[in-house]
Amino acid sequence: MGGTEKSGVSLEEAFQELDRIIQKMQDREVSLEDSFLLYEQGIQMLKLCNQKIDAVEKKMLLLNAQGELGPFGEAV
Amino acid sequence: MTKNVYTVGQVNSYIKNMFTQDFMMNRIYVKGEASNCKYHTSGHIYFTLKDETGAINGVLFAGNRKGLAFPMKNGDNVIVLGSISVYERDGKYQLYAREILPDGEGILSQRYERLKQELEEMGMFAQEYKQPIPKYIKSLGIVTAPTGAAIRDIQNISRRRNPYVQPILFPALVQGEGAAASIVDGIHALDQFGVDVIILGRGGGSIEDLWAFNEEIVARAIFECQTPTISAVGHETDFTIADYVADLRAPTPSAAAELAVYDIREAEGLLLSLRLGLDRGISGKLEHSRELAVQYGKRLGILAPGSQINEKRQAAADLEEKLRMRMEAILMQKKHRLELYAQNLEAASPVRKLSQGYAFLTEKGGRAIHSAADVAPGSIIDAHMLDGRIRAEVKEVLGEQARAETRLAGR
Repeated sequence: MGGTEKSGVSLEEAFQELDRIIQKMQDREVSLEDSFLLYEQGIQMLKLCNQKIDAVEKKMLLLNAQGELGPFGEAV
Repeated sequence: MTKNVYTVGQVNSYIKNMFTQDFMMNRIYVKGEASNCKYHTSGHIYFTLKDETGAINGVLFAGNRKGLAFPMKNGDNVIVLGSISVYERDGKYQLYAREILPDGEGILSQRYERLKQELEEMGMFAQEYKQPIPKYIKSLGIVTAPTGAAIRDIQNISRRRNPYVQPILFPALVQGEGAAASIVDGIHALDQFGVDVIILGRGGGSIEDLWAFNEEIVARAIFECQTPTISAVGHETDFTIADYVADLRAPTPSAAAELAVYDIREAEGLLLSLRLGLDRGISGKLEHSRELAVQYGKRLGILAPGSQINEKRQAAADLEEKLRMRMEAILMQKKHRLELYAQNLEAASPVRKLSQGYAFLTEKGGRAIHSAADVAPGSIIDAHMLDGRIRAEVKEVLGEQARAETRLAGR
């Protein structure tokens, strides 16, 4: 499997979790304390999402049959 | 009857003429399987072209030998360009070939169909083996030629949609000798290295160009690949075995990149709206709680001892007022009655009687005389009038009747 699973949840799951949290918070029955907990969870989850979107531009890499990475020359 | 008798030569020549005058017969492509191939010492090649329905004899004369570029052998599927004419000596028509080409497509498409059917029966195209393509990937593996339109398209679209996704290219041979093996290597290498999605791609081309993607080893490599795969081979209308085995088929390499690489702006928008949702959620909750607190505060205020004291105080003040009013009313009433008594009293006053001509008698000493018996003749009495006193001397004391006279006399 891919590298996404390394840090637990995937971005997709994080988004789903956030949706769930927000929905819960809109429920009137949820106590204020629980809302705060949920909010904190949500903020943590957002942070995680932002971390997951590793906002560094990436150049194309080459992989050879030996599994070694190298730069990909832009010259065609 | 005897009039219309022709010689064999005339008939054959007539028929031959029909063939030569026919536009289609003069330049025609015929495809079929070669059989009875005979390479004559003269350089002519005789063969029979057949399919399931029948056969036609053919000949390629030595003069046209350059029209055959491969060693045609029995069983080959070929396409023959030539004309159809009559060999008058035998009374047979045959195909005079000018060019013979291997019908690659025929063979390949047969192999394609056969393999497709085989793999399908093995369940390699089955939906239940398809892995979902993850929406948010970090790394993208690409198996394609390092030069050419496919990699450029994928690179451009990937960079435009999300420059933060790491593309990793396995430069593969995508056509010709060794292409299939190279593609298989690429799938293995990327699968082992660990990427989130693998795109297998190449630009458009003929069925031969795309053939590597119809090889069984490629199909197997895709099938066994742990990483979700997207195939993008050729143009939209080209279907390869790889397309059927891959987890997802994209019509073109560009489309594959669109499918594999999520749009970063969209994701950021989603993040923002989630963030707003969270904030709205908590502030809504807070507002609601505050509102509740105010409500409870009000209810509690009503029940508070302070407010109860005030209430009692008010009640006491009300009672006091009532009491005061009542008291006043009673006083008024009493005053009234008093006045009434005073009037009555005045009406009954002896002074009043005096004013009406009566007198009040006392002995000289001042003692009131109540009875005639209280006095004797010769006693000095005082008759008190309203405006003064009359001192008189009793002359006679009479009985009951005389009293009244005396009283009269007293005046």
